[in-house]
Amino acid sequence: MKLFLFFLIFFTLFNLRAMGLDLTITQGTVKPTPIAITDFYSKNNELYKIGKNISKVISDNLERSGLFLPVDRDAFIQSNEDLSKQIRFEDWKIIKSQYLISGGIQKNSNDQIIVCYKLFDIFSQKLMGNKERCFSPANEKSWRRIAHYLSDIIFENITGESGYFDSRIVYVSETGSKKNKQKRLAIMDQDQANHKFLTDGSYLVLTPRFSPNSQKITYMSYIDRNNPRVFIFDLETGQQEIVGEFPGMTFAPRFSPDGKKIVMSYADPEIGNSEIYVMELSTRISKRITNNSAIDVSASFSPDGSNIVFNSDRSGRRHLYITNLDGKNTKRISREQGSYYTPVWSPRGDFIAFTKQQEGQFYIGVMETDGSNERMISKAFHVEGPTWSPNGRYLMYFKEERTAEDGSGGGSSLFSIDLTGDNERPIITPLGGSDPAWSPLLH
Amino acid sequence: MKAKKIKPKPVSKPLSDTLELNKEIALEVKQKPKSLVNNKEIALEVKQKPKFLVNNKEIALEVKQKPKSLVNNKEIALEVKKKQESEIEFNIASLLKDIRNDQINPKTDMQKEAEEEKVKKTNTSKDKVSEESTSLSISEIDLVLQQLSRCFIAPLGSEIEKMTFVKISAKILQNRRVIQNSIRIVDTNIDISNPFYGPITRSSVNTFLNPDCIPLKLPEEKYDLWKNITLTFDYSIMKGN
Repeated sequence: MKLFLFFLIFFTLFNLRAMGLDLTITQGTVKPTPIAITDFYSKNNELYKIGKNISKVISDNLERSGLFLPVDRDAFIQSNEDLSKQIRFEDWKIIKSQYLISGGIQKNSNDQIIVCYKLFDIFSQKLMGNKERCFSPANEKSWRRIAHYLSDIIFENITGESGYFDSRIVYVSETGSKKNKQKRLAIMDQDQANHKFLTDGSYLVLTPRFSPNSQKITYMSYIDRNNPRVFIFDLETGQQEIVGEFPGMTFAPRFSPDGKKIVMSYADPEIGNSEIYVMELSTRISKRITNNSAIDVSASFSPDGSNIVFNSDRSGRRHLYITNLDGKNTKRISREQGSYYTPVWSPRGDFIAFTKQQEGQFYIGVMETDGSNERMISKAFHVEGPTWSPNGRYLMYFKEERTAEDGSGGGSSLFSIDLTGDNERPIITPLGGSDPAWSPLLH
Repeated sequence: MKAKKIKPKPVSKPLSDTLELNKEIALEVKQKPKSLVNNKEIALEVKQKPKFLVNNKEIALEVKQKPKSLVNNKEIALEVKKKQESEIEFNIASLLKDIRNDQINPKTDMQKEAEEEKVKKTNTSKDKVSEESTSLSISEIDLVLQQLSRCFIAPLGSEIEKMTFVKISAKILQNRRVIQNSIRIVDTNIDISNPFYGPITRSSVNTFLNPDCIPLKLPEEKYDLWKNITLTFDYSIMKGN
């Protein structure tokens, strides 16, 4: 027995020593990931300028996401030329960069530009993806698109989440006093570059929305002041057309995920209220989805196109409802106090964003598709009109200032925020802005 | 309800930028073949020494693998040097000194007794140390735990489910540095098909490789107790700093 006990104690101690130290980590550092982004190297001065611009756009994109902290270039130890030959990991560890993006830009025999990049994990001293990747932009002017595209790849490689940088924003540009506002359609890249006005401001426009291929925009226009209508603007041809002649007003349009249909509200003058309709664009035949004495508006498709979410005052207050495309299985999903507006289904299908008004305050909020886990992510005197980034992790919306007694103020502007409610940032536009809509990814 | 179809009317000129961009999508992004000639994406394997065509001449880009850092080389060289020096000192200087002392000052009985007493005392204190070194104290564990927590940078942007955990192990050298290729993911409940598998496990592995965790704050004399370390990242109770 004594011998048995001796062996038991001996082996227990021996095993403890062999097992080593076992620790549980329950705390971590939450901070944007430090990332070094070098200028894309070229021996040719002209190309080097483009390379510098590409790295600047990538750096700005990643910084704006709130998940990355680009390391100050003045801290870089290894030169660009040196890096193009061989990386010295220790030089990047010293400046506490966790990742490094380096690249090169050159012309091939056909005078085409080739942009190559490498993404390094500095801590583990590895080239991520085990290879350098190269792309060829269509021409020198399209370096910005390449920069956005590379940003998307880098973002996805590091976070596991698809990117959203190669995308555009259409919105309503506003100028003038509250009583006499000029509203124009405007479009820009998500980083506010390449800004263009699409309409001249001679008539009001509202609620622009992208088609799934980002080539068309549907919106409501007051081109005929007495008879506002839903239009489609073709970005490639510059043509715009009315989706159809109706006796009453059509408004709040959105494309279906396959781009073949449009869901919109129609105020039938005979019935006297608004209902949700889905129009087949190839035949222009519309089908009524809701049939209720209440006002049903602001419909948005689910990503699979099988359901729509909309708002209705059928319960006495404005609430959010989900229904099938045949109008069956309609159920209310919002449960809290207050009035709900402008619901938008996330492109990932996991959340619905909305505007909420309660006790004199406006909020931008999100809830799961069954109405659970409602939470507010932005609050102001007037915030409205959320739109999702293509990866479903950021929102853009507009804020309106309070108008002073003398009529001044009251301007509106665009903001973006991440799904957690952090990283709220103003979107800089030449004039005021409202009703933003984020395009799907362009690639 | 059938709406009357209306002929489209051009309202404004198309955007030149837009058109260029549209063309570009088809050219560069949608397809990913591996050819330079077709003006499409080129996948260059670093291991295979990528080649570029510049002015019809083939240029091979030298990409050396497993770069050795200068700093590391220096460190290694220094360590080797120190060891050699100390060995020489022991072999020659100390030995000669002992022989000389023995020859010049032969020890008395009293001195011998004192030395024996000293040896006894040293043995007793050695026993005490070996008892202490069978376990790490709470403060020693706390110190390294704090250091590792600071080195663990949470994978921002990743979706982490509540009960997620990642367990990794590593072998540690006596100089308290992790052997990089010994780091293993021992266990995790994240499915490998989860798009966040890579970022989450990478953040765990990188905790060991974070420069702020080299060397680890561990008591050198208790090497046997920490030569193998297992870290469990428990996201169910994770807090951020």
